[in-house]
This record gives sequence, C-alpha cells and structure tokens, in this order.
Amino acid sequence: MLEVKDLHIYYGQIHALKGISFAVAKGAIVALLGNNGAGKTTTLKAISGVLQPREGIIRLEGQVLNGLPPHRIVSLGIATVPEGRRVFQRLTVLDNLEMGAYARRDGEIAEDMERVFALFPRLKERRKQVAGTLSGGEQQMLAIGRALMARPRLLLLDEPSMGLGPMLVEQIFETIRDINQQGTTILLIEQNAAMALSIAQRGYVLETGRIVIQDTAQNLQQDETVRKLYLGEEVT
Amino acid sequence: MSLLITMFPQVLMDGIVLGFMYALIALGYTMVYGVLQLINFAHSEIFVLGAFVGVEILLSLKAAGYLSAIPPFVLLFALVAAGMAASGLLAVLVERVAYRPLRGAPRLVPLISAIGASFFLQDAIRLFESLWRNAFYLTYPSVELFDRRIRLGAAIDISLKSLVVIVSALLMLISLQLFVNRTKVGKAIRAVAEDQMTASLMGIDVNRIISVTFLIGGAMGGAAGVLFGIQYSLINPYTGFIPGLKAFTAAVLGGIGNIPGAMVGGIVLGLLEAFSASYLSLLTGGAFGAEYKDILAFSLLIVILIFRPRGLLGEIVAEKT
Repeated sequence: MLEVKDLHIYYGQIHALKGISFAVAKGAIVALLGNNGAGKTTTLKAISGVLQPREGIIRLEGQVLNGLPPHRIVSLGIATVPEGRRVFQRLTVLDNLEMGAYARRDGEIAEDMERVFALFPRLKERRKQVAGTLSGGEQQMLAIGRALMARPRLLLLDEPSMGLGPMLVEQIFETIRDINQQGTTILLIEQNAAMALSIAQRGYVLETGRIVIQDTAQNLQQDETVRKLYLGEEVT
Repeated sequence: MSLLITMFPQVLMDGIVLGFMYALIALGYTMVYGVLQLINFAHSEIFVLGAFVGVEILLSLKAAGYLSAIPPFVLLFALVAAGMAASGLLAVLVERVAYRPLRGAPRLVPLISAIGASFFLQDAIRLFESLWRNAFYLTYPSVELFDRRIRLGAAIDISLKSLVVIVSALLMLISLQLFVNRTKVGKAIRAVAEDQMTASLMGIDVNRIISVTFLIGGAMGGAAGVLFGIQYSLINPYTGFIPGLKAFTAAVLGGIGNIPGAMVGGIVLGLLEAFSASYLSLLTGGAFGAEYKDILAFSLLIVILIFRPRGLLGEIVAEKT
C-alpha cells in the first residue's frame, strides 16, 4: 500500500535520513523501531508531507506523494497521530474530532464520531470539555480518535505509548489492533519495541538514518541484537 | 462635584463609542497575531482604506445628487459592506505580497515588511486621492438623519451616528464570536493559531485559513474605518496611525491573540480615554487639561500590564516550540 524508496532527508546540513526503503502492505501493522534520533519521526513527517525529501520516492497505492502539502495527503487517505499527541488544547473534544474530519465532504461524519466514542467511551463523557483539561491517556485517545475521523486508509502513529502508564499502554495497543482489524493499515513508531512487535507483522529497525535490520515481527522478537538493544533483555 | 455626576452618563457613552471603534480595529491585530505571531502594522492603513472607500462613495453620490434620495440605513449598510470588502481584500493581498514570502524567516523580517507595507499604503492612498480629487484631506458629507440627537433618559443625549457605531460594532463582534466558535472554518482558525503543523496534518489548508483570517480581520477594520468616518468626519491617509496604535494597545491589554480580549481591551481603553479627557481638568482644578488624556490612560495601562502581563483575558499557555 505504502512504498518508500531510497528516502533522503536533510535538516539544513544534517543528513537525517540516508536512503531508507521500506513498504507497508495493505491491512498490515508495520513497526518502525529505533532509539531517539534514529530518524523515525523524520520518516513519518516525510510521509505526511511535513518534510520534503531531497531524494527518493514515496508512493501510496502507486500515487507519488512527493511535493504534496500535508492537507492534500490527508485527503488521499493518510492520517497522523503526532508525537506528543498535540491535541488542540483550547478546543473541546468534539471540536478536536471535527477538525480531524476537516477534509471530508461526505455525510457520514456523525456516524464516525459515534464509532470513535464506541472505541473510547471516556471521550464521549468528556466531549464538551476543553482538550487541555484531559489526562495524558485521554489526550492520546483523543489524538487517535481525531486521526480516525479522517477515515484514513493508512494511519501513522508516532509513539502512542509515550508518557503513559502500563495499563493504559496495554489498552491503547489493544485499540490499535482493533482499528487494524476493522481495515485500517497501520505504520507504528515505538520506543517500546516489545509492545510494538507484539501487535505488528513486520518491523524495521532504524539507526542514525539507516535501516539496519528488517524482518517479520516474530523473527525480530527472537533476534539477539534486537533483544539486547531494544527489548532490554540480557542475552546469554 | 455635582458636575462630575451629571457628566458621567454622557462620558460613559462617549467612551463606549470610542471603545467599540478600538475593539473593531483591535480584532484585526489580534487575529493575525494569533495565527502568525506577527504584528500587522499595515492594519492601520487597511482600516483607513475602509474610511476612504466610504467617503468616495458618499462624495460620488453627493456629486450625482443621489445622496438624499437613498434611505440612510440602506446607505449605511452599503457603505459598511463596501468598506469591509475593500479592506478585507487589501488585507489578503498584503499577506500574499508582504508576509507569505517571508514565512519561516526570523520574526523581525516580516515585522519590517509590515512597517514597509504600512508606509507604502499610506502614500498609495495619498497619491490616488491627489490624482483623483486633488486633495487627500477629505470630509464625510453629513447625512442629516445620523446627525440627529436622541435623548436617552434625562442625562444622556446621543447622536444617532454614535448609536449606529455601537449597534453595528456589537452586531459584528457577536457574529465574529459565533463564527469563530461555531463554524468549521472558525474552529480551524483557532486550530491553526494553536498549532499550524498539527492543523495541516488534520487536512486543514493552513495558507487558506491564514488568508481567511486576514480577510475577516481586514473586513472588521474596514467596517471600523467607515464608522470612524461617519462619526468623526475628517480623514486623511495618515488618520489610521493613532487609532491603529491605540487599537493595538487594546489588543495587548485584552491579551493579544485572544478575540474576546480584543473586545474587552478596546472598551476598557475607550472608557479610560473618555474619562481622562473629561475628568482630568475637573479633578485637578484645571492644572491638567484634556490634552493629558493619553498620559493618564496609558499610565493606567502600564499599571494593568504590570499586574497582568498577559492582558486582561490572556491565559497562561506554554510557549509554542
């Protein structure tokens, strides 16, 4: 569904992505793993159109995304849950969700809002509340719900577990799996590699702007380097 | 002492009229600041363009002999609509030409560009009027009905045009508030003001929303320009400077970036000014006259800002990164 080929990104003089290639199959969950500064968020920003690649090609179902502004990419079917959630603090929960559906012209927005509320009943309770007053977990739910309101074919998730307690992380990942089973393809960035690999089918490990390991999630969970560096296990 | 009390309602009305005028202009500053963190110095000229469009229409109608034939309120509506359209479009144009190419440059750069746009527009209006009418100090022809005075109670005696200013400003402020809080585009303006990148990731065309913001802020300024002309009659291309500066102050006083804040700040500043102008000489036994009104008003402002640095309605929000 998504195909990234030989992607190079620069921040001024800094060569942040040094030619990465990967693919996300329709209906899959794919995880991008790696430490801080490895280039995970940069990759997502290139796909969503926030950053423009200097070299390389990004295709969604054959259509080239290079050069398109972010709002056009959203209407092609890619929605983002940005790093640090970034809900609109001063807007209510309902208004945040409405903003998620901004690019849509169809009449089924109300139905989708009910679907989001079914997924996250807490948001329904707090729908009139200003988003800045929500807890971290609720804001993460809102950020995911808001992205779903775009009715994406591909959902980009940037560190959904960041700053959340273990119980909430569990719940968020279960929801991600549900969303996937309802037909949305998912590209997931995580520092919490164990959690990410538990729901993904495939994973890519980034290190200073390059993909160093790629395999099925199952194999990655067995891989010694991955276990040592990213799963925090003692390997004997 | 009794004079102080008998004057009070009249001064209050004057202050409110002035305050609504400031509030309308302040909206343009505050909305643009909200989305771009830019002080749009050209806004005072955008305001003045509204005043000139109004006077041009009135003078042309007068020359053609139609002025008394049109019902005054129809005329008023047409003038305000024309002023809003012209100023709104000018604001959009200024953003395209003078600010958008500098997006992403250090913040001082568009600021200088704004000052340049302000000078350019002042002299462009002057040039046009000099060629067109051979004069750039123009006077609004009086519309007899608007000069009539109405008695409200025993103490207040208000001209119809002042009432017109209050009512139209109030209507515009209410509709803007509804627009920004209830409509999808209005909410998108607030979303863009809060976080441009995330707004774009929601499918919001940020450039378009910025244009809409300039359009609305400019239109409010244009309406204020027409109302200013009707109220105070005399205009020239440099008329906008002082009201613009004061309206900007009002926006800061209310909490820059905050739309209800601009309204509150405008009213507070208008009242401060009106009361200083009328009461200063009475209270000081003539030692300080009305010409000291700005000193008193602005001293009070400084005191308010010392205690509320983010303005009256400014909220404590973490700085954007």
